[in-house]
Amino acid sequence: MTDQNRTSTMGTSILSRFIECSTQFPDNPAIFVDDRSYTYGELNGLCSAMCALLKAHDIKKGDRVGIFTENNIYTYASLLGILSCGACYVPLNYDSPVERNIGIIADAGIKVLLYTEKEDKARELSVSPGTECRPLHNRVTPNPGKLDPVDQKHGDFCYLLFTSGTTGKPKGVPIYQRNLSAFLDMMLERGRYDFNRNDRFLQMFELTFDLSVFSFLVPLSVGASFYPLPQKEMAYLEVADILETGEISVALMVPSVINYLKSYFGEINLPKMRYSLFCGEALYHETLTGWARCVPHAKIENLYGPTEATIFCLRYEWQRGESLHPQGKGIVPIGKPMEGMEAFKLHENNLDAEGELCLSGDQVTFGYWNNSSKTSEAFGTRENGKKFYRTGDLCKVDKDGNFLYLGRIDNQVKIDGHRVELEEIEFHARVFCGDKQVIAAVNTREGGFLSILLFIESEKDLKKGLEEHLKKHLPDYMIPKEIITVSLFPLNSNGKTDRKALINKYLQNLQVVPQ
Amino acid sequence: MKKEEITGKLKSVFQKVFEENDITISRETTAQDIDMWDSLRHIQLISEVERAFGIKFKLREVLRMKNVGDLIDLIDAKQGVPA
Repeated sequence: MTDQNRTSTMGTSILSRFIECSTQFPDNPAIFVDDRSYTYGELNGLCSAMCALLKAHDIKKGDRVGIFTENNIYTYASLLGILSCGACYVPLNYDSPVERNIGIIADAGIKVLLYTEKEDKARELSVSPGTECRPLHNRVTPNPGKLDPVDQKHGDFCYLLFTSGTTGKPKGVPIYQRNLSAFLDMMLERGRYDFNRNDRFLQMFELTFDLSVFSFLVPLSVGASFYPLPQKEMAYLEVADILETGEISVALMVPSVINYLKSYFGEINLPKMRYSLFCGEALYHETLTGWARCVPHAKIENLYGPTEATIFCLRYEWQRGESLHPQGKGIVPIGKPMEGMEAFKLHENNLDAEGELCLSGDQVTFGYWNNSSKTSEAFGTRENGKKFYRTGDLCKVDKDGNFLYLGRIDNQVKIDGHRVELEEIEFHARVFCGDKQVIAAVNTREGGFLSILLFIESEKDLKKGLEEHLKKHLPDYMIPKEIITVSLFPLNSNGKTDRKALINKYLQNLQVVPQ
Repeated sequence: MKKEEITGKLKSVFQKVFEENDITISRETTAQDIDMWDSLRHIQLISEVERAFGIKFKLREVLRMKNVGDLIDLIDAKQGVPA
């Protein structure tokens, strides 16, 4: 990879735009957090101080630095500080099970774990066997000097995010300067979006979710401000509140949010919204039609992209008054590749057939972290020598060249935008249940919300202990909402467990809630 | 309906939504205090409360609810019955 050593040129490096904005508009608000606003000048000073702190603790280029996703200014200063050292940030949710976080720290080789308030949790993680990381308090005082990042090269790491893995162990997705540069260039240089310093962005995502990178780095690159969500519980309510009080003009959200807000559409009026963007889950045409009335002046887009291809890379501009796509199964199309990226179906023999969506281009990362087997399963090389990534998403292309999302080819589902491998849940359930058969599935509840079910083939009721066990290993959104004990799983004609029959039988037995 | 009655009826709504017979609620109870009280449960809870008491909440009202006490007061106000 000869262009690994290519330096990002000034004006296109991921931090240089932020630094330029800090010089040009030091008094412009950058972040609204901790019940106050911080200016570009203040943020720059804090980042500078963070960078110095990390260097004093021996953090060098390529090192992985863990950071608790506490919602405050120091966390954001830390992210930028880490990047300016040429190091790689690894966000950790302090509420995740300890065992899971320890696994990530060990796998990523994290040397230092930054925290602001959650000192006890940081210490708990750093003294556990298998980790050699040091907790480091990140409440710094601003440096008067300007942020001065090290030379950034295309092969340098930016961040490493861990997502649900089928084997029970989270999978690390590293994103490099080259990938993130390509994304920022595409968003900011190619003229599609006119984001400017008067915009106010919503930042609704956990920092462990790469959509957060759009929500904080794009505004900081154009002199705009952003509003992070103060708490993640009842996110849909918090979002509705901030969209209005913050007069948000650019909002990237997961479709679940508008699904939760459906019954209140008549009360929501957001005239200041300029861009209402969606990503992370299937977006339903009907729900979007209702939402569109809440944002009368906004451009509405459906965006698509896995973490492995840096944030998103396909877009579809949804028009008011357009009818439901006849082939889309109620879902808004995911559209066409953005500049610099290519999308194609695996096995392109039949243009009308379904196929697995594959992506090529500078936003696609090089492979999974420390996991050559998963990498060789998902990443390949095309006939023309270009690398590509297999998304696992089933798709079709319509006559206008728009991609349509049709579902997964495996057992991965999205819960509120979070990637969940059902096999990961099954793995941990099996550990507790011994050699019993387990099946995790999703159920679509009233209102169109997905929730996870877990079936266990057992004579005894193992629910109580099992739930406690799962909570020790899986984040909240992966805990099954219902655990159902079945004495014998139905088999299909091949003698294998019939997943469909099992779920259908359960659905039939569900009590109908009186209207 | 008196506030005590509201609280009693509300408790059974909670028991139904959270599928927990030994759930306890007080005026100070918040989402942090009850396990697995996430957005989905919240929507289900609001829906069940509306159904059980024959009322409808506005988004503003749902946004302002910080604890179960706020919920009780709101149900009370909507019933038009003095506490």
